Amino acid sequence: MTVLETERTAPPTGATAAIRPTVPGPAPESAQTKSGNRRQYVLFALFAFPNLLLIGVFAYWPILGNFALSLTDWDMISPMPNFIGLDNYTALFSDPGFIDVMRRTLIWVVAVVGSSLIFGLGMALLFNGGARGGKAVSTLAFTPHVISGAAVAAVWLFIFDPNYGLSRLLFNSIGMDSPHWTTDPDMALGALIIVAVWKGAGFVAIVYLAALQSIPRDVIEAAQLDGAGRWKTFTKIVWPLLTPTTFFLCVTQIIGAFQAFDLIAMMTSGGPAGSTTTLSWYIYEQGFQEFNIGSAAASSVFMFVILLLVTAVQMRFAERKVHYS
Amino acid sequence: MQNNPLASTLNKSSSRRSFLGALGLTALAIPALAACGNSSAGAFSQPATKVPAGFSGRRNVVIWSSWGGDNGKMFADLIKKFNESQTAIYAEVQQFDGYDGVGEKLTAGLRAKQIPDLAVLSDIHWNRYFLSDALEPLNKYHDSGFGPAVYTENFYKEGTVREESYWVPFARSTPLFYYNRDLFASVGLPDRAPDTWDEFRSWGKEITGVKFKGNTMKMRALTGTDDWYFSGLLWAFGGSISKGLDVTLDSAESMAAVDFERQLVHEDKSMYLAQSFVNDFSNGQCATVTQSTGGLTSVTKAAKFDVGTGFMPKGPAGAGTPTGGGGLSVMRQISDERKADAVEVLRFLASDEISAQWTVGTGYLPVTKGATSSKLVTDLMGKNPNYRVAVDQLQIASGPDDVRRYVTSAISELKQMVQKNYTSNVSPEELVKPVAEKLRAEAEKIRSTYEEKVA
Repeated sequence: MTVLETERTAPPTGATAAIRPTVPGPAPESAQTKSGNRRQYVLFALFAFPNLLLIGVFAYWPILGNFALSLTDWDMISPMPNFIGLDNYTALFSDPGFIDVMRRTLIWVVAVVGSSLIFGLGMALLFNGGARGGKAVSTLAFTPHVISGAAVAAVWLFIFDPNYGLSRLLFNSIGMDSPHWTTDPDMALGALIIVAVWKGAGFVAIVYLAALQSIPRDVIEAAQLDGAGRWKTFTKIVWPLLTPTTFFLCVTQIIGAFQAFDLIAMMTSGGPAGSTTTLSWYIYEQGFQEFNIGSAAASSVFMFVILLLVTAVQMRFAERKVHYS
Repeated sequence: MQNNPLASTLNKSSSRRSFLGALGLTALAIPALAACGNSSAGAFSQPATKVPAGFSGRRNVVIWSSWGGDNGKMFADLIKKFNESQTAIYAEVQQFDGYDGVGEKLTAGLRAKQIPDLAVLSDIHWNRYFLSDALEPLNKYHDSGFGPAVYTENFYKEGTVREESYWVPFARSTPLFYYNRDLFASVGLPDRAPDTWDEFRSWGKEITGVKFKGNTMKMRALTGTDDWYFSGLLWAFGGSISKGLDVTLDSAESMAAVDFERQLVHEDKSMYLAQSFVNDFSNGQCATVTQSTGGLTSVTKAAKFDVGTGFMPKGPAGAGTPTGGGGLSVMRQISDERKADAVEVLRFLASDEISAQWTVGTGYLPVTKGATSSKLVTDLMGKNPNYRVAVDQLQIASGPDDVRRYVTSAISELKQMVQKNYTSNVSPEELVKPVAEKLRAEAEKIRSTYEEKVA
């Protein structure tokens, strides 16, 4: 850039040109160039400022504010928070209850993301096979994803009700009593996982279906001509070509599972006895039920760090393993 | 790149250290800025309203309410009547999800400096806002139509601190013992509520397992939001959550009450944690339920059988009946004009006719002396003796323990403890001790403010 500008402003001639160094180095800019650059940066700032302002106010400012609150003891009703340093973090990591919450969150994320990917991929392979009525079924499978969490929860609360829900009908028909899905601590998290997978697998299926349909037919046909069976075609051709999609789904589904709130709020409120309290609900409970804002903020910082790490690890993994065709 | 003015400016002025320093300073300034919210009286704005054409040009009163369903409609009807009776004020009801919903929104509103004129607060929530000076003292507005001369004495006193009124009664209730009269008759039990918890237990053994109209019966369906009824049980056994701010949840008497419930759930198997305890009762899935008097009208309407009610059973220490429900408070950080308009709404709701209509429409207890003796309410009691039971029980009811009132985490902790008792067969010591310790630590945080303003 420097060389080009120098050449443009002072064309070399004769002996001067012969001894002039051509390596980049500091060179004076003309007033016209400086003015042009300034105009460009002003223009850039004008375009970027509204977006930067919005991102700053609605993303970074709350993150900073949340971090600051995590260093305080405050109920949000009292006029002033008390600065307590890192006490909220110390309390959090020495609280066995919080360790339970993290263990439960891990089970929740692994089960919801894993099951959604498996069921979603299964459905996508089924729809991609060109079975009759496939389009109608895929539309139906996608429907739960667009229904609000509150409506899904209301439907499933009816299904799960052990006294007059569908569950009672089904279990009674085989001579059994319905489990107490949402009021038994041993069942409640499982019940929520079923609902979350039911709601989320359709989206996974549609994304996988689009990816499957974009795989070039000639690659698959060539493999089949070489004698590859269905399983080998899938494991050696299809699955590797699906890795970018799987990577995208993993990232979005893990973040979504960590932040899950609506189903828990509507169906169990984190109960019974905390058996469905995942990290997102715990943050809400600390903040808006116990009004322990410092603890809620510290938990939020912890969740932010986890999601940052998950994304960073996956990005790193993606660079090495994901195959982009 | 070296000549890039933007980059060089950034390089010169923003070393990593100075950037992080600025970041830290900004972060630390935020709570201080956020905390400025409560300090300046009169500066808080009113939430937006949608005033119908016929009422435009009036001053607005915004009420944040917790009631939905039938009770919400009833409250909206009363406020409509208020608006029709006025020429200068228009009141708008904005509904939230229960008392907790109003509490969350009000707390956020105080920080954002945008609050309603009147808030429906539970018998627990108002105390926290009082401690933080968010509620307007009301004695100066008292006259013959609004104040201690009008309200039922024990309800009125519950909303006062050191003789100053901050919270006026409106939707007050006590827990009531509801039972399925048809089922009791079929099992051969007397047509009344059990007198004592021991009698309740023995009747539970008779009823549990009985087939009635296609359902296998249990004695009582429990709710996971049971800290209110549970506090009454503690009193009946001679225990309590606290005496003042001194936590007594782990006293021998309190733990006996916890153990009693554990035995009924896990040994007798006569009680169970329900997904929807009121629906289970209304649909004839269980024999009895403990529910607010405020649910009397809706439960009676929904039940497909004859509903009986009675006082809550007594324990070894006698009756244990907590008052509950909601009342109304005027917010302190609004203009004097807004406060005066809000009091006009309170004055209207305290009139005998309106108070009686609310009681008849919802089942909440009459909160004014005039409403209690009004023809509307006495006629209702004559027609349906269940309403008489609710009013009579008020004589033996008391307000909540102070830790439940003032410690913000108490309700959440107690609910979780009660749920654990209903679902896990653990010893009372193991269950109660950690909760008691946590409440003690939380109570200490507010002790100085409590002693300055309440004790």
